Order: sequence, then C-alpha cells, then structure tokens
Amino acid sequence: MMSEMDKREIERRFEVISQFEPDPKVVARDLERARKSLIEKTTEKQTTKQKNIWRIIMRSKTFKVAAAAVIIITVSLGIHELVGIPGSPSVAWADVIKPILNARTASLDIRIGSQDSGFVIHDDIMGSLIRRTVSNAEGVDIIIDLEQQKLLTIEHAAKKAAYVGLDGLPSFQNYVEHLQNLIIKLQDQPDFHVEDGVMEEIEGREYIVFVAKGHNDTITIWADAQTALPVRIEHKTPNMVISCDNMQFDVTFDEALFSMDVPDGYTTEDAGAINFKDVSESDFIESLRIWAEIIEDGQFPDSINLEDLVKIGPKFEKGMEKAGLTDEQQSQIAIKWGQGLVFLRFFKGQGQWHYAGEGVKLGDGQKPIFWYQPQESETWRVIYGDLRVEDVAEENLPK
Amino acid sequence: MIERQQKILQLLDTSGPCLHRLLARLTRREDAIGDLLQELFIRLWNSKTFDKADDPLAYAYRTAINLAFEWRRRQQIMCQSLEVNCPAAQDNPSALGKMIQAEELEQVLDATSRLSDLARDVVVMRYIEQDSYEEIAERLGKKPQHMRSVCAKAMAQLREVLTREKV
Repeated sequence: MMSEMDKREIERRFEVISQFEPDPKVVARDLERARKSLIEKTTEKQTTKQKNIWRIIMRSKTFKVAAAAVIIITVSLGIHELVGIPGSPSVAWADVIKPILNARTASLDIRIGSQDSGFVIHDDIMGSLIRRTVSNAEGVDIIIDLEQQKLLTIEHAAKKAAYVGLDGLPSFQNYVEHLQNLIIKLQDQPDFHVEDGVMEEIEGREYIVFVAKGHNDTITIWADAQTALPVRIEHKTPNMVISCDNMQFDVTFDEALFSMDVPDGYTTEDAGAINFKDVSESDFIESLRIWAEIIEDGQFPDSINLEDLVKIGPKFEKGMEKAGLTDEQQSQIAIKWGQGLVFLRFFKGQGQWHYAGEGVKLGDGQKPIFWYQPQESETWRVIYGDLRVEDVAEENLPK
Repeated sequence: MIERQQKILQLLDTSGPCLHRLLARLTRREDAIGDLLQELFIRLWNSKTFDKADDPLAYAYRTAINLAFEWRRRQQIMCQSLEVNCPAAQDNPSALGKMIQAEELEQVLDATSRLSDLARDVVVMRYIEQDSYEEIAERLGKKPQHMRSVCAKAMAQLREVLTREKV
C-alpha cells in the first residue's frame, strides 16, 4: 500500500525552511551589490544600449573570452579561403589575382552578412599573423597566430589580456603560400568557370566585375578598370555571405603590431582552448541544447546563421548570469557551445544545411529543427526539438 | 527617471533584507542569492507593470518567488544536462543545512515549484513567510477565504506529488 505523505510532515519541512536566516554579513554584501548594480544599470546612457560584446565578455569571467573568440574565429577565419579565389586562363582575371598572389602583407575590411549589417572586422595580415579589430569593440585588439594556434585579446582601457588556444585549427602555415595552393587547387575543379567583362559603378568609379562559380561557392570580384587591383570580394556559400572591402596589398607594417606578448602593466589570463579538430554532430547537438536552455530560455533561437552570431553577446551574457552556475560549470558550457559552432562553420556535409528552430521549444519531439546530408550519405540527418536524430530519406524531408 | 530610481532604491533599503531572506529560503544556496537579488531589482526596473502596482512590495515578493523557482528549474535542467552533481545544501553547509535533512527540504521545494503560480505564491507566503490568510489576500488582491481554499488544494497536491515520489 502506498505510504501517504502526512500533511503535518509537509508543514514541518516548510517550517524548517522558514526558520532559515542568512548570515547578516552575506545580506549586507548582497544588498550593497544589488544597490551598485541597480545604480549602474539605471544611470547607463542611452548610447550604451548598443552593447559592446567584447566589453561585456572581457569584464568578468575568462570563459566568456573563449566563447567570444570562437564566434570571432569561426565566422570570419574562412575569409582567408575566399581571398584565395579560383583562377582561370583569362588574362584579365590573372591580372586581378596577381597582387593577391604576390602579396607579402594585406589589409582589408570584412563584413559578415549584408553590407548594412554594421559589423565590420578589420584585419592586418602579415604571414600567419593577423591583427584584428572589430567595429563594435573600441579599444580591443585581437592578435591571431595561425601557426602557433593561439589568440591574444588585449583590452587597453582595462589593461587586460587573455590567451585562447585554437587547438586543431586548419593549418595556414603561411598566408601567401596558402592562397597560392588554394588557387591551384580550385583551378583544377571541373565545374569551375569565370564570367567577366561586366562594368559596375561603385561610389562614382567604374569597376570590372568577375563572377567565379565552382562547387557550392560563388565569388565576385570588383577590380579597378585601370590598375586591375581588386577592391572588393564577395563570397557566397549556401549558408553565408562574406565580403571584403578596402583591400590593400604589400602594406608596410611595424612587426610589433603582431606581437603575441602582453604589453607591460597588463594583467594576463589563460581563457582555455577551443578544439577545432574532430568536431562532430553530437557537439553541435549539445550546442543547440545549451543555446535553447541557457541563451534562449527554453526555446531554440530564431536563427543560427553565423552572421547573426556576432549579435549574440548580450543575450549570452544574460543567460549565463541567470543560470546561477558555478564558474566551472559556466566554463564547460561556453566551451561546449563553441565546439558546436565549429561544426557549423566548418560544415563538411553535402550542399546546404537547413534550420527551422524558430519558435520551437526544447523538448518538442514533433518538430524538426535542423537537417543536413553528411558526405557520401544517401539519407539525411534530421534533428528534432527533443534533440533526437533520425536518418531520413530525401523524399521524406521536412517541407 | 531619477524619481523612479529613488523609488526602487528605497524599496531595496526598506525591504531588501526580507526579499533576500525569501530568496535564501527558496534557493537554500547562499552563493546564488546575490545574483538573484540583483536580477530581481533589475527586473523591477525594467517592468512597466511594477510602476502601476498598487502595492510595490507585494509585486516585488511575487517577482522574487518567480525568480527563485525559475532558478530551481534551471538548476534541475543543468544538473541533468551536464550530468554532474549540482551542489546541494549539504555540500555547502549553512546553519540550516547542518540541522536538517537537506534532501527532504529540496523535495518539498521542488514539488512546490510544480504548483500553479497562484498556489505556489500562496503556499510560500503561508508556510515559508508565515503570513496570515488576511495578509496574503491583501498582497495578492484576493479574498481570505479564497486564499484558504487555494492553500488547502495546494497542500493536497503536494501530498500527492510527494507520496508518489516516495514510492
């Protein structure tokens, strides 16, 4: 027979709970913190409403540096692939890519998504070293050493610096060599071709436009009609658009700009590492779980497009704060979430992935939220709202 | 804006300790209360309904109860998701934790979190804050008899849930 919980027993337990009195020192400390935080929040100027992802990230715990680094790296590292655009026998085309091939250094602006996205990454590149600044993060420099697979962030106002490991990052031993190799490789693709000869006006000047298509990618280059120097490159993949502007080659840089040493007087922290190698579907699923549970309060995000990731900072911060986890737990979560993004960024499936998680609650096993076709697979992998995965024939895919 | 800021700061000064204690009782984790208290006052600042509330303290109480139970739910989810043992009261000894069977208290609080919002608020005010039905009714803008009835039903529900879990 079922033993019944006595009403008096429940009341007794509540009574024990009701007798708890927190330590007066803890009360005083927490009240003071709440007061300070309230004053800080309520006196914030309107102009600070546009949250600065890096400032939010850098001001507190190190795990957030790692999480942000993965965003910055995963969304934009591939730009070095796009500068290595495919070539063709065309003389004009050869003229356009010549400065890229011969460049020892380069300077360019990168936009993820549309031209009006408002988020611009500026890169100065010297060999395998990149000095990166981001438009909505004034006073923060990011130095990436592709050879050492390491990233250094330097926040000048707070005099803070942090190292992030980039283990297993695809190898870019030398920037120019990488471009040359890539061009040679892509030229050999059977479906590669170039459409050229179209003139287009940008800000009052006329440019020759080349459109190169191969495999799933379309690359468009705008080049100066007189000098044949490329001024803009746009790279479209099935799931992303990246464009480069204000391109300059063989710029003379001071080598000190690319130093991986922390400036004197700055505090340093080690923010852990993101593993770019052997990232699997299950990493991505774990990332979706964290996204829904922690960042979006039980619901899948409206979009997981990499171009939208750059806006996620404040939400990420808030979700982590609300979760009430220990630093160690937060660190685990940030790293796990980042690993899943790597799967998305270096997507190795066939064709395009599809996302339909907008408005779907975590746990809803009826609704498919993501599907893709793995390499050399006849069926598709479909992930549902309860995060189970099924192999599905193409004709049975979600509409 | 300054006037509104002053109003909320005044509430923090006068009722902050009571709200802190309430959060402490519902979470049973001293390390979590500071963050929740901050979140509570930021929520009040961001809430338009708070401005219109006849009784700002009652509104703050209900928000605090919501926050604490949201926190409890997240803790449960995270413990499942990370497959780790989230620290319970017995891992962080407090004056209370040393004296009682922590697991029993967690059970009753978790069961309370599954009640409807109104029932949960009434149970917390009645049994944890030890308010009278008249005080509860005034805070929630209801009649005392109604509160008594909600409380009785909620206790029956808790008995059922806890009995089921005991089997």
